[in-house]
Amino acid sequence: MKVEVKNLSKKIRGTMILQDINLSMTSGHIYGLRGKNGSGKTMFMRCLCGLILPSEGGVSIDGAYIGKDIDFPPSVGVLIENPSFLNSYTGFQNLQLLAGIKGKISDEEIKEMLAAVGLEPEDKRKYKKYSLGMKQRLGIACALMESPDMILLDEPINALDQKGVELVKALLLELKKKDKLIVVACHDNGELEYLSDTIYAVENGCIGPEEKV
Amino acid sequence: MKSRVPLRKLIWYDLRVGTKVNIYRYLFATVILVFISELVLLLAHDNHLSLQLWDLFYQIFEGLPEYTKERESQFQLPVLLMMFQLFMLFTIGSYPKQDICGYGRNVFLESGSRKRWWGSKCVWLCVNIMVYYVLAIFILAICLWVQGSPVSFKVTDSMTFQQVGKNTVSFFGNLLLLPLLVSETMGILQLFIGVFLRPIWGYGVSIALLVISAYKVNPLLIGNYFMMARNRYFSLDGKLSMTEGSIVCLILFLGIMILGSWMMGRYDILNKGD
Repeated sequence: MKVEVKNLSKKIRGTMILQDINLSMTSGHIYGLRGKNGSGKTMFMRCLCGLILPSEGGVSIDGAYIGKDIDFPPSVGVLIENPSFLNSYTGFQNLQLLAGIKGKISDEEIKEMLAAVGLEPEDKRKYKKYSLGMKQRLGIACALMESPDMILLDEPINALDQKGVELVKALLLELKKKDKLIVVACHDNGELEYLSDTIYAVENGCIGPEEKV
Repeated sequence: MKSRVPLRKLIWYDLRVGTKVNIYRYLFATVILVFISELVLLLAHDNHLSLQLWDLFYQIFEGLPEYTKERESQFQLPVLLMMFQLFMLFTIGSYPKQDICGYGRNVFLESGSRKRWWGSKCVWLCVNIMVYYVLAIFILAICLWVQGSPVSFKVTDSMTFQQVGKNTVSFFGNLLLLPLLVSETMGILQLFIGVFLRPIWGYGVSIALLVISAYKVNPLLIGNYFMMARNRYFSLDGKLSMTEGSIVCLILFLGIMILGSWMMGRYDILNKGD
């Protein structure tokens, strides 16, 4: 998979959120986004997955432009900002409902994914009873469960304990080996440098030159 | 690689999650429908009327004759009809907006198509409103049965309202299908405003449309078609017919649906506060 971002700009209600971004990303790599709150990392991720459409320029996935040729990347897993699930369902039920739409994975695979992020698959607690860390883990499991080709994770290690952080890092490195294209935005420089092959600094909607790690 | 989700799966998701999310709204609407039914039965009892099922339904949708502005005339609202409609619109609520900004964002991305997502929400809306009507008829029947009256779905001469025609198909078309079609049109208008602006604004526009329709008879004010007292089939003074009501509503419904589909293709999915 190759993602090309060409002259990407986004203006929302008169404010320039992203400005003239140009970069290229390929499968089998982890790309880090570093920047202050409000710098445009999340908006950039939203553009990558098609939740928002560019005002100028564009994002292409293997040559197909989002908003023109396709509405969304054909295979994408996303955790952007806070995970959101149905309060009255358990973690498993939530993922089961979502997985049922595409019907690509079995209940067993969902349980394996839950275990992989450190959640108990048979946990009968409803989502509303989950701690922040558990919610985050469920959000990550949701983004990864169907083994998408492109994975976008915004602050994935937020609210996670050290064990959780290690689990997520190991998972992402494993997925990278499986030739996935992964984009991670993170405030923790150390973790970002550990995970990423390339880091982009985002500031005021602009993306600086890439830093190879 | 194409990874489009079939529309039927999206619809199934909406029916399942939409019901789950709105379950308390449905329960509340059920209580209100029981209240409306009992109110109609109480009024009928006071007037020594023996009502049958379609009499009850007619009473809710009778509305008011055309309002004429004179010195002594006082503007009134069709309270029963408005309650019925407003609680129907209440069951639609903010689910589509909540869905796209929360849990359903994953589904939105998985759908593979913005237009397909919108189409699924339109189908969900139509089914939701039909279920509300079926629920209302069911509750009316139960209330009649509890009162010890015979429950029959047949149209008989002993019914309390006047019909200009005696055709059963026209009867159900005017009394049942026309209000359903108007409800679907108001529903899609609320869905449109709710998704692209704010759900509460959609609700506000629906209320305003009902109030203005009660005040003024105009073929474009679709709230008028709810009111059987303004329908030629039930009233000799009626100015509106099922045919024009159906045409206006269908044009509006399809127009809003197509416009919504077009706008969804250009709409940015942001969080509150962005």
